[in-house]
Parts: sequence; structure tokens; C-alpha cells
Amino acid sequence: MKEKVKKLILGKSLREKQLRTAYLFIAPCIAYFFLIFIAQIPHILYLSFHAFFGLDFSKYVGLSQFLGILREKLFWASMWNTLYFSCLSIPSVLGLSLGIALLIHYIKTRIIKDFFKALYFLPTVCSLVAAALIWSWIYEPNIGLLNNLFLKIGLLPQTWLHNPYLVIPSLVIMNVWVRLGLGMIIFVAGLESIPAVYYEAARIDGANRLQQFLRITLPLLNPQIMLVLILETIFTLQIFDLPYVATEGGPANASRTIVLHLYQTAFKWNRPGKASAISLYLFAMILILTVVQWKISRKRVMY
Amino acid sequence: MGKKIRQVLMVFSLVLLIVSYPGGVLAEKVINYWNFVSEYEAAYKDYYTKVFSEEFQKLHPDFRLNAVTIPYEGSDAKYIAAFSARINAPDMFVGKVPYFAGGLGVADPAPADLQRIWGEVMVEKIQDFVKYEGKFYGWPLETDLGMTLFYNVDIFKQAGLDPENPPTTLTELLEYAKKPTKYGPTGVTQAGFALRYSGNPRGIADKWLPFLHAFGGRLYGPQGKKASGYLDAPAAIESLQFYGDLVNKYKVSSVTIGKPMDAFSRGRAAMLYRESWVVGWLDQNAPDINYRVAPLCKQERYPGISLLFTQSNMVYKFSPYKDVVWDWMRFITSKKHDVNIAKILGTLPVFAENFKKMMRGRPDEEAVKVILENPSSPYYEDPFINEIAFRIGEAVLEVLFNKKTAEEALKDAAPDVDALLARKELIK
Repeated sequence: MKEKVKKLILGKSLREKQLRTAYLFIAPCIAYFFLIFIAQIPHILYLSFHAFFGLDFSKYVGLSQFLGILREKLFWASMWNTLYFSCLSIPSVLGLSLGIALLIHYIKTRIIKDFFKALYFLPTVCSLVAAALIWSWIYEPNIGLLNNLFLKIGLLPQTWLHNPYLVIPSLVIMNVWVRLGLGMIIFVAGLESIPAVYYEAARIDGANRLQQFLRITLPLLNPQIMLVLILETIFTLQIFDLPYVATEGGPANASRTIVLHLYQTAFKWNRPGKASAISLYLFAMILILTVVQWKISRKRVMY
Repeated sequence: MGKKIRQVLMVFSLVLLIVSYPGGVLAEKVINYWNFVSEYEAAYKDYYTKVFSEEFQKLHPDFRLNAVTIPYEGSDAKYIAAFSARINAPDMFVGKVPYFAGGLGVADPAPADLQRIWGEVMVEKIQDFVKYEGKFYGWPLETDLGMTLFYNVDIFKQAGLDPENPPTTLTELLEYAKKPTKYGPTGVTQAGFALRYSGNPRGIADKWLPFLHAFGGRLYGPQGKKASGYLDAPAAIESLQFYGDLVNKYKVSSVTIGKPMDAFSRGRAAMLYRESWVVGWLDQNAPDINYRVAPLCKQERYPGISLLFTQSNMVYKFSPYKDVVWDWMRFITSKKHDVNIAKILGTLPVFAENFKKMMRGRPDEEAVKVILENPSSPYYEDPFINEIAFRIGEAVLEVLFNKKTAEEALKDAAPDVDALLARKELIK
């Protein structure tokens, strides 16, 4: 190891110089990641075992803080809301982005293809805060665009973000609108990398479109599906911007997500110890889900 | 030679860095003032900055004032982050005294001379709101006497109600609210009474308070140790059930009509409860609204001053310029500036003498007189009142959105509030 590091720093061969340059380029990013994320872990662990009162006084409380969180209704309500949000959002993003990617893939004219790719990708580059504000107005019960449209086509207007039962589905629609583009781009790239000869061979063997999709496209898109699945899982479990801006966790905590709960615990109530403990629970949950997804999907990934 | 030059340059850069960092020798002395007076941001900030630069700087020429308006929503996070880090924390800031003096422990008590002077000049009814453990910590932005009843005269007339005789009891309020309420496909399109149902639950608890006090209830006991037996007492339950029934049973209020102030200023609400600063706000933002102000409605008793938060200017305990900031506080809390600030904000001044003069001729003059003539309701000065009010606000929301009855919601909330009340024993 020492020899390798010495060669990397002092080596004069072309390969070593190229490696040195590469490491220098990624060094700021790694340093940032280390300082902001990895180096904070011991501090978070320390905080999670302490209860804070005011800004200067803390007390070691051991595991009681972790156990206390598990007894709180608000914690479980936030967890439930987050999981509910994820269960609706992830399949919607996956399904819709794959569907749109397939449609775009079959467009022959390049300029039209690029136009639609850009169109669907635009919301992805839009700030989540801006998206939440725009959609809040669309959902406004009395003067919003959606209810006015509903009235015109004879449907019953809804109270959307003001309804405890509709607020999560409403936020899911916002989220799907924003996240669709990223999945679509990944799937389009994946579709374009599938060799055409497989489809030709399948056509010769008499396979119809559906069979080609199920037997060729889907299996060969497995890496992309897994990537989008993992990205969406991590993203939705940490959702914060949309509920914070659109509903502030309301009405009556119906859209309070776990990260929103964590944020309010830390910054509204000044309980960094409790917030750190909640963050560790969230970390564990995301890690377990990601590992499970990885293990289930890994065998089916075909390269 | 090249190596020596490089070494000299490095040392020079290091020295320059050290002396110019915040607080260093060459750094400009700036007093940072954070406030969330967003409604009249420019005028308020300009006045403060102008007075500082034209008058106060004669006493302290090497200081400058940097007045920053931060949004009220999200201000908790900004304050906690700034005070935890201490670097670039505001030297002077606006907030609620018990929280910053007791809960966070970052507010400095006023010096002895101001303890005496403020006690002599400030409107007596509000002095307890800016004290913690008997000491003044802050100078209020205004004389905030809590909420009064604002009602739209034109809507009253259209609904066949007499604007000369506004409701005086909550039972009357309900009857009055039924007439101007209008309905559309999603529910209420014009509310008889607009109430707060969105945003921070703390504010929602605050808006329920006049109802609670009118029924003779209180949030927690006078010793500040227990909510059980108070928050879940029959009076509190009855008041919250009444409040929730406005939305769910009688449908004279709505949880979809938008913020009460917005609804009232757009002529979509006949009545609401709000504080006196709204007089200035309506004059600026909704001059077409023909409104009047009446005292709060009583039920078992007159609710009096019912408020959870009154905002004050405070000094940061660990500010490196604390003495200068207190000098500034002595300067700006004068009779002349008190009047000017009240005119800018459209509020009631803090000096008792100014208050008596400026109260005359205001739309809320009679309502304010009733407040002054009646005893105040309890003021809740627990250092963790933010979290307590949040929990209570959640209970109110559960009733407004028909998720629980008032009894269920308050019986669930009371033990949680007990636990929060117990926290202050740990910081003593």
C-alpha cells in the first residue's frame, strides 16, 4: 500500500501522472463529502446520546432518547406518511418514465425526439421549491386551475392540499412531475444501448411487440430499472422540500414526513440530540431498504 | 531567492487573513439587527438605519447598523443556527422573551437603569410580556394587547346584520356568522368567521386562545407545572369543541378558504380575530375594506388579553458589542422614536404617554379601552412555550379537520404538555 501511494505521488510514468491528475480532480469532491458527511457521523452519534436544553446545556441520556422516539405518535405518523408517499411515488415514477422513454425511443426524427426529451426533462431541473409553489396555486380549492378544470368537465372539485386524505396523493403528483425526467433520460439511454439485432432475431422468430418488450427490453433494462428504483427510494424517503413549502406538514400532520419532522425537531424546538437520533433511524431504514433492493435485483441484472 | 519571496508572501497573506476576519483588527464594527417586520420592511429598516447613522453614530462613530429582515416562517431555524454557531449571530434581534431568555438563554437582561426606566414609561399591561423571572429583557415592537374582533361592515349590511351592534358573546358570534356565510362547490366561499387552520401549529394555538379564555379555561396551571387538569378540563374541551363546530357542524368557518387575513382583505370573510397591527396593515393593503373593530366576545368571562407571543427587541448575551447595543437600545427607545415607529408600523406605541394620545381616533379605540378596563387572561411564559404551543396547535388541528373530538384531542395532548412543562426543571 505504501509503495502504491509513493508511486502515485512521486511516479513519473504517464500512467502515474494521469492517475495523479485524476485524483486531484476528484479530491475536492471527496474532501467535501468526507467533511460534510463522513466526519459528522461521530458528532451525530455523540449528539444522539444527549438531550439538549437551551444552547449550552446538555445531559447524557443514553439509549432512552432512542426508546423515547419509538414511543412517540408523531414519529410513527411521520414514518407512515413517508412510506405512504414512497409507495405511491416510486412505482408511478418508474412506470411513467419507462412508458415515456419507450414512446420517445420510437420517434424516428431526431429533432422531435430531442424536443420531447428536453420537454420532459425540464421539470427535473426546476427547483422543488418553485414546483411546490406553482402546484400550490394549481391545487388552490377556490381559484386553482385544477378545480376550475374539474368544474368545466363536470367533475367534483376537491380540496387537495387541504384534505388530510388527499394531501399525500397531491404531493405525489407534484413529485412525479418533477422526477419523471430523470428516469426518462436514464431509460432512453438504456433503450438506445440495446442492440437492434436482438429485436431483429426476435421478429424473425415470430415474437410480437409485447413479447419483445417482456423478453428483451425489460431484462436488458434491468440495470437502469434498478438504478432508478434505488435513486427514487433514497430520494422519496428523504422528501422535505415539497411538504415543507406546500403544506408545512399539514393539514393536521397528514403530510409530515420524517425529514420534516427531523428538521422541526432540530431547528424549531432546538433538540439536536433527538433530531440526530431520528436521523440515525432514517439512515438505518434507507440502508436496509437499499441493501434489500440490491440483493433482490442483483441476480437479475444482465450486462 | 524565489523560495524566500514565496515565504514572505505566505506570511503576509496569513497576517492579512487574521486581521480582516470578522472581529479582527481591520474589520468594520457592524451591529447586526435581525427582525421579521416584513410588512413594512423598507420603511422600518430605513428608519432604524437613518437614526443610527445620523444621530447615534455621533456617539459611536466607528459602528454601523446592518438591519436585516428575515422571514418569520423559518426564523426559528435561522436563530438557532446563528446562536449555536455564535459567529455572525445577530447582536440585536426580535423575538419572544421567555423563549430567548429562558429556553435558549441567549437574551441579555436590560441594565439596571433600563429596568427602572422601562418600568416607568412602558404601558403597564404589557410589561409582564417582556419580562422573564421578573426582569426586563426586551423592548416591545408595539403595545400588543392581543386580539380584537374585526368585522366587514359591507358584508354585515348585505347579510342583514346591524354593524352598530357587533356580537358580544360567542353564542352571538355563531348566530351572526351564519348569515353572511356563502357556499360553493368546494364548500365555504365566504366565511362568516375566518379562522386560522394552516401554517405553524403554534399560531393556530394562539388563535384559539381567546375562545379558551372566554370559556374560562387555561392552557396550564398558574405554577406552570401541569397541563393535566387544565388543558383537558371541561371548559377547555367545551371551547375547543365550539371552535371545531364552527367548521364542521355549523360550517360558518372553513379550512379551505385560505389565510384569514387574506380572506378578510379580499372581502371573503365577515369576521376574524386579529391584533391591533392589522389596523395599519388593512389601511396599507386593503384600503377598500370597510371594517370596524369590536371587543372580543365573552362567554363565561371576557377573555381579555389572550396572546402567546409578543415580539420584542432583545440584545444577544454574547455579542462582542453588547454595551454599544444597550446604548443603542437606550437611544432608540425614546418617546420621539416610539411615536415614529408606531406611525410607520401602524401600531400602538409602547410609551404609556404616547399610547394614550395615539389611541384616540383609531378604529380599535373602543375595543382597546375594553381590554384595558378588564383583567388580562393568563400569560404563558414557559421557556419552552414554542414547543408547548406547537403540541396544543396540533390538538386544535385534529379537531378542525375532524380527526378527533375536542375531548380526545385535549386528553391526548395534556400528558405531552406535562412532559414539556417538566423540562424547565432540568435547566434550573
